[in-house]
Amino acid sequence: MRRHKLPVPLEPLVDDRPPKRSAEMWVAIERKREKGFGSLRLWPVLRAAALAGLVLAVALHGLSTTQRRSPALRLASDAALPASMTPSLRHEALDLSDGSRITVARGARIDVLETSARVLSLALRAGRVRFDVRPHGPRAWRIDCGALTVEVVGTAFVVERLAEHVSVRVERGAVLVRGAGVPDGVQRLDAGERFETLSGPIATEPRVAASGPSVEAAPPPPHATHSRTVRTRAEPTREDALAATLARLWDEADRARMRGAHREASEWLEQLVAREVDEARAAVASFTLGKLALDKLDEPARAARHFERALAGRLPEPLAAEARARLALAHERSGERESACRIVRALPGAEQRDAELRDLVRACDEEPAR
Amino acid sequence: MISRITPSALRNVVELPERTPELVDAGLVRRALAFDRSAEHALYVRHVGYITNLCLRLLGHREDAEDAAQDAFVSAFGELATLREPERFRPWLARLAVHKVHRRFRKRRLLRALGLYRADPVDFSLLPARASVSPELAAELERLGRVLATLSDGVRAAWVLRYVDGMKLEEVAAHAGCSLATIKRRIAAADETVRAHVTHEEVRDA
Repeated sequence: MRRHKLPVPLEPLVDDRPPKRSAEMWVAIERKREKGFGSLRLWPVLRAAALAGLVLAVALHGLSTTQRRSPALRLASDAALPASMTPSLRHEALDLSDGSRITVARGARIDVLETSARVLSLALRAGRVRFDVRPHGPRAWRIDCGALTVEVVGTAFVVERLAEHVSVRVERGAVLVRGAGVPDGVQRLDAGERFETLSGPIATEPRVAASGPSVEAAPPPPHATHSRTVRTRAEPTREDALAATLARLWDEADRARMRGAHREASEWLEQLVAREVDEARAAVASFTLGKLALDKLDEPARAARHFERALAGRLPEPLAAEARARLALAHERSGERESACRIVRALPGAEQRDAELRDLVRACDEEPAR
Repeated sequence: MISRITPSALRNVVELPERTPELVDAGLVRRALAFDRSAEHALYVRHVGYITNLCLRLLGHREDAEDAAQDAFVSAFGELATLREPERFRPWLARLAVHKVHRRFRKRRLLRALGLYRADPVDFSLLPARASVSPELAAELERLGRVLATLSDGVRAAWVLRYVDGMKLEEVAAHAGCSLATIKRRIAAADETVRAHVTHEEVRDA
């Protein structure tokens, strides 16, 4: 059969009569326009919703699969976890089905409160126990030991409870310690850190743990009357000890400032400036000291010395601009008008700052510059 | 005596611009922009056949095609102010329609991936011939329509836009959202099937 060659483009040959339903189509178009169909972009919305649903379904599937694959924790030998462990002759190591290990020291006692696919909850009644928890496991471990609760997912740490004394030492990873005696209710301990407190009712306030040289290195504050719970390093190096001391000094200064003990805060900061090896941080401490002396202790001459020291150090901007403004005020309040004016004349936008500085600017304008 | 002046007589003495379809479209677009709904309806009546059949050639299903054509008109009337050359209303509307069609292709792919797509029977009368076309060519067109109906969405759309609607390769690629090489490959694949059944000329870009 002879074939006819089709000319291209074919469109001129193709019938383009309106469809039979063109009148209904026009009505539908009008309806869609009234509903704002064109601007709604419904399909992308549906697509995003479908995608979100898909992600959710996959997540739920993964979760249920994890749960199915992670029954309650058992011993590596497939025996059930004992309800309580109390080795009397020598320490006892329990290898668990998820690869974790619990080593219970002689004389210690630990009870299993709850074991499920998601949680292992234990109670340390007495003694020392080492936990080596497999990282990224499906369960959250929770160890209640009197006043403290230790929460962990994957780490190695030792918990010791001797009568009222509880200590947590982290060897690997990190744990959360919670309890009424814990500062702010919860603290994170990283590898190498230790936390100590009293156990039992919190009627007795937690005391200072005096186990590391970092704590001993910091002299007691002259006005400190409150007792404290602190974190210390288990095996501190010289640098660690200094860092811990400085951190503690900052901490103490902040606490003193927050409760309005400005003199005590100032003394903590003085100690900090004397020890701080980081020039920028020392400068910030000097700046804070200056603010305390100027605003709270009414010691403008001392404030001026602190601001000068801060400015001589590596004080970051814009703290430096603030320090110059406050140095000018400190000189003014000390009766050093000439020094105050010298600073204020070199201070850009000084007249736009607070009222006292504006007055100083005006006073300096009236005085002839030397 | 006053003689009656007929339009044809007037055209002999006054040179009037020829009312080409493009000029008619341009006038209707301007009136539509001035919120004249009758002008919008006139534009719809003038182009609904072409746009619906274009969508049908690409989608292969009449209901989908009518739905896509409706969406194209809705978008066109909503975005009419963005049309820079009112006399190019028809190709602009066709581009919107092709865009709507490709959105439906993407929706089909997603539904297919999720196992939710249930394909309706393909409409084989993709290329109905005009009444003026010879019976032999009409038969060839019908045969071609049946062949095209067997191709996958992307391959059929590429071939149709190139050989039926005479689009440039770059335009086809832009509509499909893929590279020129991919479009060439799709057209070549479709052409291999088409040539086994019908003979056609080559398209040459100007």
